[in-house]
Amino acid sequence: MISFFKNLLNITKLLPLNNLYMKKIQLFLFASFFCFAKVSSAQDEILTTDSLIQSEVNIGDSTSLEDMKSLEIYNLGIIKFNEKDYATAISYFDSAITISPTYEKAYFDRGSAKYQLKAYENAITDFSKSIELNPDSTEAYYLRARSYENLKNSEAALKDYKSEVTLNPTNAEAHYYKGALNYLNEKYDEAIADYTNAIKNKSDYAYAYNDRGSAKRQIKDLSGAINDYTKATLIDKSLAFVYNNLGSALRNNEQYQKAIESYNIAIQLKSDYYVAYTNRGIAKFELKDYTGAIDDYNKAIQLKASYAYAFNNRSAAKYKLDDFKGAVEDCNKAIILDPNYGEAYLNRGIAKEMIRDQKGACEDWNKAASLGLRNGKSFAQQSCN
Amino acid sequence: MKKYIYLFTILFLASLVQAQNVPFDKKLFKERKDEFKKAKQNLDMGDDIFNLYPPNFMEINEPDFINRKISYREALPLLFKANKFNPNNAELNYKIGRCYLMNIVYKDESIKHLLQAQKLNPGVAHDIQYHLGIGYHIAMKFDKAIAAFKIYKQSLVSKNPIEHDDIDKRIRECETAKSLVANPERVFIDNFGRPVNGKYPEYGAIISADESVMMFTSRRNTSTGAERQDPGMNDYYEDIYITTKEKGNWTPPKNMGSQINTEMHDATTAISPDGQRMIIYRDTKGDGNLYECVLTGSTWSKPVKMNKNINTKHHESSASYSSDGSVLYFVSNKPDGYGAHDIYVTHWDEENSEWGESQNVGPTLNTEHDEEAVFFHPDGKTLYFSSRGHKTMGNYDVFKSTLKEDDTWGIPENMGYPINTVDDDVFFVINGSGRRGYYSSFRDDGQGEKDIYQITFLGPEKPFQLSSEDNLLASVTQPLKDKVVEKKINTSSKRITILKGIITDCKTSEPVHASLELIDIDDNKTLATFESNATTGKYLVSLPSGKNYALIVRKESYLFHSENFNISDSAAYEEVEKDICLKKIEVGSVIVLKNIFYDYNKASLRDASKNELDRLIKLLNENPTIKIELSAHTDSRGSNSYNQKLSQRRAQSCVDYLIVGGIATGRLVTKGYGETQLIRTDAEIAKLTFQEEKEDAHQENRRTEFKIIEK
Repeated sequence: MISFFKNLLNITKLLPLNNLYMKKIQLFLFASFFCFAKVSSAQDEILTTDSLIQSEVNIGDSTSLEDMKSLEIYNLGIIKFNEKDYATAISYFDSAITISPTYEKAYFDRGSAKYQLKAYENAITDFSKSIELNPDSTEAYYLRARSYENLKNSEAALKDYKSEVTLNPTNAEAHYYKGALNYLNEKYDEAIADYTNAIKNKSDYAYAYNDRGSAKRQIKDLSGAINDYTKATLIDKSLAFVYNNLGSALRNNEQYQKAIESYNIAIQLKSDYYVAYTNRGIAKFELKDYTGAIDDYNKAIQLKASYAYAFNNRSAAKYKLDDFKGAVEDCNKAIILDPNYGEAYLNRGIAKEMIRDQKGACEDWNKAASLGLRNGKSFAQQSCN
Repeated sequence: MKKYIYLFTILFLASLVQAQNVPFDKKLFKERKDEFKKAKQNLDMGDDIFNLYPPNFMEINEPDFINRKISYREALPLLFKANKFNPNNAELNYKIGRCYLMNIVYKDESIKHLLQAQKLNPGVAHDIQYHLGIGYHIAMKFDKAIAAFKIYKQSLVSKNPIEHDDIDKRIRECETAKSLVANPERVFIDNFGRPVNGKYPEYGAIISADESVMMFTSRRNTSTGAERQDPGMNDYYEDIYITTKEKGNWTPPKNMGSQINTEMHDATTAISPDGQRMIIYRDTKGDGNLYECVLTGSTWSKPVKMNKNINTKHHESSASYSSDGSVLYFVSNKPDGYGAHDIYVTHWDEENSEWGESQNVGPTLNTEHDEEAVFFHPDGKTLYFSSRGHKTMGNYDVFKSTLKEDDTWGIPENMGYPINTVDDDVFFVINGSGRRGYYSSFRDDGQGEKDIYQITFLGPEKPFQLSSEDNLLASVTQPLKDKVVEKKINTSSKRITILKGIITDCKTSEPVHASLELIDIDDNKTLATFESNATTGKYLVSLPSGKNYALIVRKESYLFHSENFNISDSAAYEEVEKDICLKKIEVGSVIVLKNIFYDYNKASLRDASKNELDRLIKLLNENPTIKIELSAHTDSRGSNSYNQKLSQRRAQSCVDYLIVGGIATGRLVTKGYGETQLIRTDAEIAKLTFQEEKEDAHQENRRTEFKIIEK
């Protein structure tokens, strides 16, 4: 049964996580895996305890009786957990803990049930108690880390992942999530090491290959990134986002035609993938296929009308086709969608210059400069005197 | 099938009939006697004018070449009328074609007449391919032009190398033109519009570095001496006009008056970057000379002929000052050059207060052909000029060359199309930023005749900043923005800072006629001295990049004012407007000594500071009764107590120097203010976007001041 869950979990790991629905399924299976492991283990204990009742427990030994009671209640909680009746499960675990306040597994499973109910703060309290009672409880570290992550407390999460991988170095997922936190903290070298550990412990870990590719991109190791993304696609050919990322790495490496081919697959796999349409537009733009780029941006806008990037990028293609007014209008829309969109101001200035609105151009470049774009300052210096 | 053969024969015969040369023989026009008579008269008159000068350039000298141009223009309407009567005369079409080539406009009309002449009689003239080549060149049909020139060259019997060189040059020009037209410069070209341009010719615009003053030459019916000219004459005498920019608009141009404009030709040549001096061209005895005028207050002095190191009995036609006024480039066709008009340079001889001996700038810039209309940019590095040599795309083109580190000139670069055309492109000037240039041209959108045009240089294409994001992390649902490094572009702006403003009295706000001294701090060398305008107090100083400058403003009975500009080699163009008010020598007056520099985090004075302290010693010696407080200030970084001590020690270093310089201790009070008197607060600095702006603000806080505490 455990292996069934593990396989199921692995299968879901290969599905695109940006799909929220898939993510939920995975999370459920992931938690279920732990809980099922607990149930199996508890059932084993039930048998052992029954034999204890018959042979070893003396009447009047209140501790043992309470243990037995709490174990029974705990087992009921596990059953309810498996029925996804987390609230009832929690109340059984509550009772078990009341009877046996040092019942580590009851704390852990109550924490797991709370985790399922997204009551992360309460879950953390239970996981902490579980760790206090059993400092080697790797699962508690892992789920507490996940809870912290859900509460956006990445510092605490990272600390727990570290504990987890120290206690259980073969936990590929812990390495993986630790990598993600390092990545988000812009510690790309550490992230790459984490993903490498994840892959070491799980050679078909497509997500880890993808994420390591992304980390390599950030340190300008484009060929490393391309290799990792490619490896991820070889492991799982259904991950649209990996093809998109591969396309972008190829594009950054100025392999525009190959980039387009990769985006094409991403779009085939996920027809509403507006990000990939926009990115393909950029690759076409670089190949001077400006009308092709506009088609892609149009499609992205159809899919997501509030996508400021597509408007901003479309303005560049229109500019190249000498449609300067159209370029200004697109930047206007991008700026309405995001009033602090520095790039759109910069670009609008460039287009305004061509329609002889120098004053407007200079205002836009100065605004872009105030939003941190150096070219805004440089263009204003160059052309506004 | 037979039908087709007949049809073909008829068409062939018809084409022969159409292509038949029809001589001006009255027998052929028996039924149109009167018309024939008139046409023949026109033809004969036109022929007479056409034949005034030899038809081949080999047999004609330069002045006659110009006269032939004029005569061809005069012959054209007569020949045109004759051609209207008989359009099928090969020789007449040939002549009309040639006349069109010499015309000011519609030059490309020549092609159809030359082709018609060739069709009517392929042997009409041995050089018809040559002129067709010129026509195609002007019409920007470069491949056809090259083909025609090549055919002509093959048919050339003459072995004269001049003739062969001429053809080769024209082929080269067409090839250059092809490549320049294929890669046009990013510019806007706009007619300057009224009130500068009108129905008369306007050209030769010259501007001050900040484009606040423009002068130009015009041949208007109101020109000085116009009343002496024949009525109906189109080209009136040249006069110089001036316009100034006020609140962003150009004022109606004014004739510069009888002081400048004579009853003969007076034309613009050069204006100093600060607009306070001007060189004009006059041609009183047919030799062409350069004259200089100086602006005092609001009055221009009478033009004074420049000395013999510049003017000769030959033709001196244009000139340009360096930004500091110490160097003058000019054009002359005096002998011993590299051919025709050449560019020369002369340096101001401080001792004798005159321009020194001139030197030819050498064969990198000068060619065997004409160089003309020189313009030296205030960046002190770039020379613009027109040339018929070098790689032109036809006739005069504007070129630029850069002065290299070793003081030699770089290979001149063609300014490109559409600044240059296949026709003459001369009298090009460019503003301080290099962003706008001015030249004159005869174009369809003009106000009449030649007009002044403004060229806006857009520089290299500004890159759009595209945005992208990816699902970089599988565990994060939201796409993450890709970090994009901004593409850097080579800004086309000049490496120069233009500093300008008004010098006034701090209390009365009245303009002050002050002297400005520009010093190279590293060499402790005076680079130039200027004066602010006596009436307006306006000043303008060009500071080419790559130097650390001190600017000292002085006026008797005032405290000197000191500014520092450290302009790195890579600094882009900047126009700094800095109004300076001078303080009277009186109790309470405070001056920031901007040219005092300390070693980093130390109190020791750098050598470069001594010049400034020497000025202070001089001031104290000249005003022996004043006592001063000399104070130093730090920025807000570092601890208060450290800054306090550092500023105290720094102030003491200055005072020690003054004492060594002979100033009595009793006249000096030392004060270290640390970070207690910040000019720019921390809150203000925190709001700045870029690190360099923050650094500048901190720099402003780190300063040394002196205050008169007793007089």
